Amino acid sequence: MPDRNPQVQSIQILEESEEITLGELSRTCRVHAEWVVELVQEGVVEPLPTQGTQLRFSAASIVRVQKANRLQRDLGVNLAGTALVLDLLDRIEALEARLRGVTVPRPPEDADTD
Amino acid sequence: MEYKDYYKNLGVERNATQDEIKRAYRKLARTYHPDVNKEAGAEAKFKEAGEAYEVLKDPEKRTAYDQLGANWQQGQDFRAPPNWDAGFEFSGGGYTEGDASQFSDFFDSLFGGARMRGGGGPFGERAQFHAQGQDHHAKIEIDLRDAFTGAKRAISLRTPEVDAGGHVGLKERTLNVSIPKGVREGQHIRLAGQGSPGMGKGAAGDLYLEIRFAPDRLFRAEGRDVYMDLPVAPWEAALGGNVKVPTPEGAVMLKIPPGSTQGRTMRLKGRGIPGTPPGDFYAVLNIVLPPADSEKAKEFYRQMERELPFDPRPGLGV
Repeated sequence: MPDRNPQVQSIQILEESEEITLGELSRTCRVHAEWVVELVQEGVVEPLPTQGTQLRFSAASIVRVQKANRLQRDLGVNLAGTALVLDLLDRIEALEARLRGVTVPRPPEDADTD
Repeated sequence: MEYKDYYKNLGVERNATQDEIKRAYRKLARTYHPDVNKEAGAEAKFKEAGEAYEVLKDPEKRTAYDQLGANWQQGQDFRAPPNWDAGFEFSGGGYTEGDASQFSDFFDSLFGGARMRGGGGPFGERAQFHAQGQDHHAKIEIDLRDAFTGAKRAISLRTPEVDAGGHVGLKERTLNVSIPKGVREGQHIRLAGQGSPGMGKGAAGDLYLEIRFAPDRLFRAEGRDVYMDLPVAPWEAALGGNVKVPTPEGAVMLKIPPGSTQGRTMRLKGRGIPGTPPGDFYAVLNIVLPPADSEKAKEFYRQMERELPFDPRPGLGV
């Protein structure tokens, strides 16, 4: 039974508060570190503020770098386009989250005037 | 297996030019890309278009596909005729870009062989070939309350696997995943090594789970904050009072200040989804009027009208 239902050991929540290095980020996403640096220069991912010279990122950047990679591979979007698409997707997501809190208006009824 | 009408899947005629095929594919890819379109079924359409384009963009594969004839219907039971591709020479590998392992059995029965024997491509020297397994992505739906306590979920994954004979099949497996407490909607969890197995000495891919909350009758979450609409009577809003309020962690008594108006939002600090810092819980007041459905109720309203000097519309200018 245990091997049919293996308990997953290595769980990582990709949170803002968890820090990873440039090497870890590019290894996890299987992209070149140089390309990640290009993403940083375009503002697609933001490194964390640091005193040293080494770039550090939040683990949430993993999801963003992978998305950028898929958009470039699947749709042929260039770097600037990728930055734009990701920003717009963020805005759509924020708007949709807010929409969920808005009560749907009931269908209008015709009013009489005297 | 089922016949795939690649022309229909791209929405083009059988005599479409290569340019028309490319345009049709680009448009479908933009519309249904799973990172762009979150609707159910978008990902399936994106993959369908990708597979169709993989065949139709390549004049060699397209000619071979056309040779099957135009009489096949989408979804019709299909067996590739023996030596159906005799006389065709595939110069490249079967796959050029995209997630090739996601293609259908139909594709594999027609062009899978080309991948194995392709000369110049990266698949040429299979004995030397090592590749890291693919990453997998899945959405997982949990209850909002699970984010407060943590939860165990069994998730079934269907993984494409290549057997010894080179055929691609789907293998189902179940993973028990502990969802840690404090997760938020839209957050991703990475399970290292739980994606597709690698080829050769390549390591296994990773599994990414995106957290979604099941719709809740009472609560909705924004980040770590949790919102609830709290119905109150007009006198509770006007005079203040104590109201019993459900939260994901159990009921609490909430104090309504006197003179509250519709939409006033009361915060219970730190009672949202746990974390550092934890989210807050918000009760949004919704004043509910007692119905005027009895003579006694109507008389109360008439009495208010007579005795309360109240203009609800002072600012309308009419």
